[in-house]
Amino acid sequence: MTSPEAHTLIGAYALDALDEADRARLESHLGDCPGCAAELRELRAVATTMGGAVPMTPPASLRAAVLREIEGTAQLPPRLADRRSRGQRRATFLAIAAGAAAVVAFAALGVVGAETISQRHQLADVRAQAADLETVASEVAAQSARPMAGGGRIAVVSVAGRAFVDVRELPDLPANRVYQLWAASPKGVESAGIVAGNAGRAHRLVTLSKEATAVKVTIEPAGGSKQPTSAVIGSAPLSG
Amino acid sequence: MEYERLRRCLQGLTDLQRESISLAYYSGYTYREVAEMLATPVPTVKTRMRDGLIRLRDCLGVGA
Repeated sequence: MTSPEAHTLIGAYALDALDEADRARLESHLGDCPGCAAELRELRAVATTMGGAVPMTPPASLRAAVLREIEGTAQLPPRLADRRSRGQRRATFLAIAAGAAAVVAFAALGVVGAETISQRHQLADVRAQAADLETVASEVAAQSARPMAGGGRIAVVSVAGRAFVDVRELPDLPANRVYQLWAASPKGVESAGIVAGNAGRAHRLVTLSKEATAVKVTIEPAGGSKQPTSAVIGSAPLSG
Repeated sequence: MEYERLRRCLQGLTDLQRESISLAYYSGYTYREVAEMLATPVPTVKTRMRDGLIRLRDCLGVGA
């Protein structure tokens, strides 16, 4: 299939970010696209350059510090009507620990922009470490999880415009329904991702607008909606 | 130094271009997964990956 639409897959192809079906579509397009070979060669060269730079993984000491912090952090007390309880100080402490864990997870997950990895084979190590740190961030976040209507829990840790959202114990939905996350602000709500109706649990890294105040959850038709079409079943305020 | 140059060039990308490319290349996600993670339409992520690489190519002066 030759089409401008297939051609735009060439960037993702150079990054090795296509699944089987898309790869086949692009490769068939390459067959009758005279200019493609040169473009692909150049984009591949860029990717190679990205792979030839200096490695960066979060220092082991940082991870150890986060784990120590978590170990010494008490669980939140049960929610009481009076929010100004003695638990508040502990809650602040927890939020800081959660923030630190989330920052580490972001660093490992994104390895964004400034720093890069020297060899593709280091990827496996970094991924394993990122998975570890995601687990840590999930567990820390879960300590402040809030129950959702109809079952499941939601927890959010946010740092500097990015949020780590963890949902778990989600009841299975009918095949044509999904859970959808929303970033809510005084201006309205924006989609923050979809979680499969049978996933049970998931976490997402979400970039938020400055005005965002909470992450909310609704149940939507498969594929998600532009705006919520059903009642909010869960909500968690943004920390930090 | 190659690395300094790459760093500078990456900073010249839009946030969405940089995040899309980083998640795909360094974290190994497919562009569909990246779209879901960034809560951005799939066609947008696809074109940002290409735009971003082209901008990097021009900035780095590679493959010419």
